[in-house]
Amino acid sequence: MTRRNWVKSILRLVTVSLIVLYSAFPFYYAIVSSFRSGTDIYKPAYFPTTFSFQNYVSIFKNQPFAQNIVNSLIVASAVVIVSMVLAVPAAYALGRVKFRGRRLILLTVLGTSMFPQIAVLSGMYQLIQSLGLYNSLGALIVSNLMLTVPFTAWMLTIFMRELPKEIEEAAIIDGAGPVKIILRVFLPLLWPAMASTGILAFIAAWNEFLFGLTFVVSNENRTVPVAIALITGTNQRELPWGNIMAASVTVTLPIIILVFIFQRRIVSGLTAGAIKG
Amino acid sequence: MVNLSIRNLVKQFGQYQALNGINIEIDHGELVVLVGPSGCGKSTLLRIISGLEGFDGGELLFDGAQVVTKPPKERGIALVFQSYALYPHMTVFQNMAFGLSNSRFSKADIRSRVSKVARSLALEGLLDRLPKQLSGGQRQRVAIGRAIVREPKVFLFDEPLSNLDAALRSQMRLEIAKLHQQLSTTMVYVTHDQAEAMTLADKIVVMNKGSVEQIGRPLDLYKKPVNLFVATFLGSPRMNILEGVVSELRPDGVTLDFAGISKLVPISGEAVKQGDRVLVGLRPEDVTVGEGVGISAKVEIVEEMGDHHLTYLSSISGQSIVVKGAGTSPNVVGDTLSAVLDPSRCHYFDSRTELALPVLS
Repeated sequence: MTRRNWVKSILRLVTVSLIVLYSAFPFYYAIVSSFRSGTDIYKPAYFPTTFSFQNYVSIFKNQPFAQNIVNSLIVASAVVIVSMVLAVPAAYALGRVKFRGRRLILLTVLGTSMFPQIAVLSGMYQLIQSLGLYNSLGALIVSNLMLTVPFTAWMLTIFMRELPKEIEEAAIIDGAGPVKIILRVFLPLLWPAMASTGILAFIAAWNEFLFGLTFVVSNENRTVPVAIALITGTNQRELPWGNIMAASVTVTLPIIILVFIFQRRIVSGLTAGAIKG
Repeated sequence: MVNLSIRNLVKQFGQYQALNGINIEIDHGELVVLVGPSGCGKSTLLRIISGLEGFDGGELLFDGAQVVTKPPKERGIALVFQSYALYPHMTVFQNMAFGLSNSRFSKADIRSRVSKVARSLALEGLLDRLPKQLSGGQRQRVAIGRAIVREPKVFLFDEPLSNLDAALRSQMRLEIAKLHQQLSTTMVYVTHDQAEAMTLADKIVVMNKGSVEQIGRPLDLYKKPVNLFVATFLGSPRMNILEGVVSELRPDGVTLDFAGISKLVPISGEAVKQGDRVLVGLRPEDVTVGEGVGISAKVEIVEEMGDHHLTYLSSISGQSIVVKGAGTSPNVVGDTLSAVLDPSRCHYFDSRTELALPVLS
């Protein structure tokens, strides 16, 4: 190895380490802290000193945290499913069908995702009220869709555009109508794209806080981020760091598992072998 | 089997006139090759026949009936794409069965039809494979199988062999020729490769810039091109073109001065006058090199092909001439030789209109 290459690879290593440290350290600190108990938690230490499950036990004992996790799972899954059902046909139209105003619609879709949540909060409240969904999980599903549908539709449109035109034409020649083309030809090819956008939508819904705080008032219907924020200590002045850390670690696990499951799907290119080769 | 009539067909893409008034009659069972350089409109015409593309004027008739309003599946056509366009997530069997399942065939019926076609294309062992597990030639056969299995009335091929390597291409060309003999279905075949056109076609349609230049049987086109474009497009290497001037009109032809020589050629005296510029076209195989009165030229490059050879000459007046000869070449680079031509085997074109000039027989 030449000197130059040596310097290059060291530089690369340093850069990667910095990025990993920057993004992983907070989570690492949360894990370490979550296993400490009592007053230990307030002493700064970068390596585990004590090891106890007390915090984990107490979050499930003192509040309906298990119920909160189930709520989050229901909301996030429903949001992903509904987003996909809406976004796939939308992406077909926006990506493959030529019509007047297509660009305008695409920009509008993108535009809606630029509004800050707080700006739509009062309007969304009216909508939730009129649908009679206040203080229910349905309220969160409806409101979260506003966050996920625009970007899932946008991303799937981009993927849809990249699918070779000949495959669609072959299907037309084979006598397939638009619905059949979407379901039998495009959907299988879009599967990797749907997995990756689906995960992003899931994470967005899973972490959503403001709607969760506003549209649900009872503890049993809360989702995880709100539940964690509202964890209280034994008295007003105590901030239960240990519990909060334990809860945060617990709710990050499903996301990590999800990403690991779909990782291979996301990476693999399913269109290989379609044309030329 | 169907006969196709294309009458005065016009297609526009915005301001751009892609096809300006195409007229072609295709008899049932005929294999017609549309050939031309890229951008000549041949693929557009094929897509219009298939129904994937609409048109802006003229008529398209299948067996005398208008098909404008019919979508592709109701026209009874099948199209083989240049890029194969197989469904990547479906097995070979599913690829071939997809069209049938859309037409509500029974499962048993689909199975028997697919396996019959698979047998004829030597795809039996591959039915459970995915396209990505196949070689280029196999993919092309699956694409053809997908088309055959529906027993179309018209077969359309859009440059089906251009993604294959040379050896495979001539093999598949043969298979398509056999296929046409077996099925005797009407076929329209688009290619930019004049060798495919010459070998496969019952009838060639030479297209250029959105218009038909000439229609005819391959050898007729080769021997009697109506204009310079057709003459130079068909044949490989290209026909040699030399520019000459009419110096004398005679009852038995005209005297033409070109490439440093003066020669009596059988152009009808009524078509030209003294001083007119004429393009002389001569096929590389119609020129001989060696003894005799001819164009004096220097050997620039010799290409040995084994069974034949090509000699690239440069005449004293600076014009290049390719000569095709049998066997190995006796010529040496740098030598000056005489290129002898037979005026009765040459082609003559008006240099302004580029149309073929009438020849005395």
